[in-house]
Amino acid sequence: MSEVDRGFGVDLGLSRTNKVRLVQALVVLGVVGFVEFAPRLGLVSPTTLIPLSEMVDELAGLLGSGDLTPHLIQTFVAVFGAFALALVVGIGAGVVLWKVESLKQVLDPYLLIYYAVPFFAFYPLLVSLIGLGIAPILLIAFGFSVVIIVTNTASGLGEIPESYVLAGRDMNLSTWQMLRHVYFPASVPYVFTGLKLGFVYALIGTIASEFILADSGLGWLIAYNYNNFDVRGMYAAMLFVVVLALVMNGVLSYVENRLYRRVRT
Amino acid sequence: MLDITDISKTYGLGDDRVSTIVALDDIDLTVDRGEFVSIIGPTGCGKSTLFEVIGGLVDPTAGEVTIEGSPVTGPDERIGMVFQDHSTFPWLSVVENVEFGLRRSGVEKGEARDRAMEMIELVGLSGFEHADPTELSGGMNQRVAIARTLVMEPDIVLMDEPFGALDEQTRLILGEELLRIWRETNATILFVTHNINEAVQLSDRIAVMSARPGTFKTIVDNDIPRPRDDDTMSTDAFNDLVQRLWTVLKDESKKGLSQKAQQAGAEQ
Amino acid sequence: MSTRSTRFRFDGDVVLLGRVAVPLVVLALWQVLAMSVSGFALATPAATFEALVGGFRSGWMIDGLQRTMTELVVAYALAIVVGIWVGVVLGLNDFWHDVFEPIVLGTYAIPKVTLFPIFLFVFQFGMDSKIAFGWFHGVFPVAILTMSAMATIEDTHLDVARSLRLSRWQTFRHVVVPSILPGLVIGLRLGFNLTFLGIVLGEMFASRAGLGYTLVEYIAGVQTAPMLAIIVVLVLIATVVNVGFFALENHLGSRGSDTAQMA
Repeated sequence: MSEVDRGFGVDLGLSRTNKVRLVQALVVLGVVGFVEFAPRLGLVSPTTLIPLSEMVDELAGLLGSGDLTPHLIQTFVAVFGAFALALVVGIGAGVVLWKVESLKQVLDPYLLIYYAVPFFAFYPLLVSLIGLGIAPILLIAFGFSVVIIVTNTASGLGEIPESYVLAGRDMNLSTWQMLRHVYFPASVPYVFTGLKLGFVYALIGTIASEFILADSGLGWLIAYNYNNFDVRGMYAAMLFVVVLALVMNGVLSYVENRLYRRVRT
Repeated sequence: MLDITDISKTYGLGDDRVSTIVALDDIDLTVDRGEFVSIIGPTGCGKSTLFEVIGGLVDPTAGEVTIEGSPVTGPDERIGMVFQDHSTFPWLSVVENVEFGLRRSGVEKGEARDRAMEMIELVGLSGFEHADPTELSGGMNQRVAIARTLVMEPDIVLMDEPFGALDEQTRLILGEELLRIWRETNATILFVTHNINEAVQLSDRIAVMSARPGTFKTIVDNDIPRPRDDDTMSTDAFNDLVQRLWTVLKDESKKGLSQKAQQAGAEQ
Repeated sequence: MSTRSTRFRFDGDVVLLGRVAVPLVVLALWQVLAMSVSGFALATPAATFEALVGGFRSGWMIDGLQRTMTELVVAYALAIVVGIWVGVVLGLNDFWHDVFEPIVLGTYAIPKVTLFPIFLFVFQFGMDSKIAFGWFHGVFPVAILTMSAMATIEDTHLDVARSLRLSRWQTFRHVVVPSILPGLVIGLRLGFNLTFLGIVLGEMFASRAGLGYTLVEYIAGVQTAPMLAIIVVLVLIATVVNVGFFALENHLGSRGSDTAQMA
């Protein structure tokens, strides 16, 4: 109940928040330490895992020599292109669904089931329709990303407290003014959550598509290096994708928390 | 029967738990069998902490709670507790809620059901045995909570602002109902509230708590004759007692509010 | 909702009619698209149906299904057990919850397919790597939603349990489980979807059997009818399982959309 939860036995005289951060740092250090030292100490075969420092080394080399650049460009164009498209289409469609109640009711069960479909199964289909290259990857990433933005926008607008709307009406705001000064600011945090997930999904969609069937891109590079027993190159590309995903997620989560804090207080 | 002796409770405060806050300081109270005693006090005075300490949910820093001389060291079968609100289980029907404690303590199914049905009738919920709590009003949910506690036949019933979340009319009606149930079951009740009228309507004695650190400023006998009904509330005796209690409580409430403001300021 | 007056409204019949029309529209679009491109690029619905029936008759579809379903069931069962265990443990302890919540959510955001080669290194080429990979996809939503469902348990309900002197097990069985069940079921559904995705992805990338593998084989051979037949089977499996879960969620009164839960 209201008893103090000390978490773990040793009391270092730290505040709870700092203890949480300390243990988090230890967990992360533990994982990093394992990746660095397990191959060095022979716990894991060096053909399976290479030390983290060597991954960083290799990645720096690849970035410096420019060998990675075409793959970077391909992946970034696909991710950001798909996300930009999903943002425009998704928010637009979300507003339409919110306005046209019956359409939302018709589509609701299909939207819910959308992410249940193993999406990448369609990727080969697109390849057979429009051929290899960036277009089918961008389409898959877009399809993966857009629906989460649509549903978040529609429900974000739908969940605006009635009192805001009544207050706006009371001030005789025009439709445009209502959108601009009431609906938009009130729904920003919810819409942003959709955008955050949309970006993560676009990234997943791009990497996975490249992985299965492509001729360039970071996902392709990982798969290619794996198939050609280039463990160093594979881990270097892997490290880049993981760090990119974690950094983007961290930044977007930070912005998201700030937005929610403003709406909540 | 219930003896509360020199109870104190100190909490660690803030992130580092270095500074402390004294929630309860030297509380003494005796409740006799069959008595109805209320504890009133300003917001944040530690009423709820006292309720949890007496019920054995929280250990006191110092002091002792005993029933008939034997100490209460944790949750105790001799004590029944009724909580403020949201205490009924929404996934169980009314009768399943009421028989919940009996079933868990090993009472056989048929007997538990019979006793639960009896109790449901006593609290005036006949006809709603198989309804879901979510279909019922807040007042009816509190009747369910009271029945769930009384069916265990505790020696003493603790209630923490059981009508605190209800509207004034429902609160009055449930107060009268509680008095009827109290008469019919000969229960012993210790009732925590911040509502002076409610305390005067219900109790034999009223203990007034101070602002933090919570301690009893005074314990007042309530001689207003029973049965008390709507007319009682307009008598001079009733109003005089309310006025007397308010005079004591007013200063403490102000103190409590300024403490609250200081605390909010410190957290900023 | 407040804005109801500004919306267009029809009666329920129109909605029902619309819902029935959606798959028909998809079918019609498929037909039109198939007719406008060459048969090599896209088979018609009729040709696909024929390939579907043929696949079951000749048995290749059944073999693939058996393999994929075995992997799916094992991976999903493991994801449920581990996910619920982790979710309950972290949900019961504030400290470890605060430590691990950002770590779990952060890991969840990594495109898991990136790490698939590691699974191949550790578990080899056979079923194990696909099971491990499917599990890795599914365990996160189960754990995350169990964890957040644990936070919705009413403190008062736990106080009631303590005052009635319930044992640890009784409290878990009669208070914790019914409290978290609605959120848990959403986690189980999302967990199923991601496990399924992980299994199919794993088979598509590196396997010698299973529907994912067969799918890639037919693409390489430019046989769009059996390829589409496999996609239809995969979509049907996902749909049936999800409709079942939705029925259960409605029954339990689960609240919240997918998005709110996954955020």
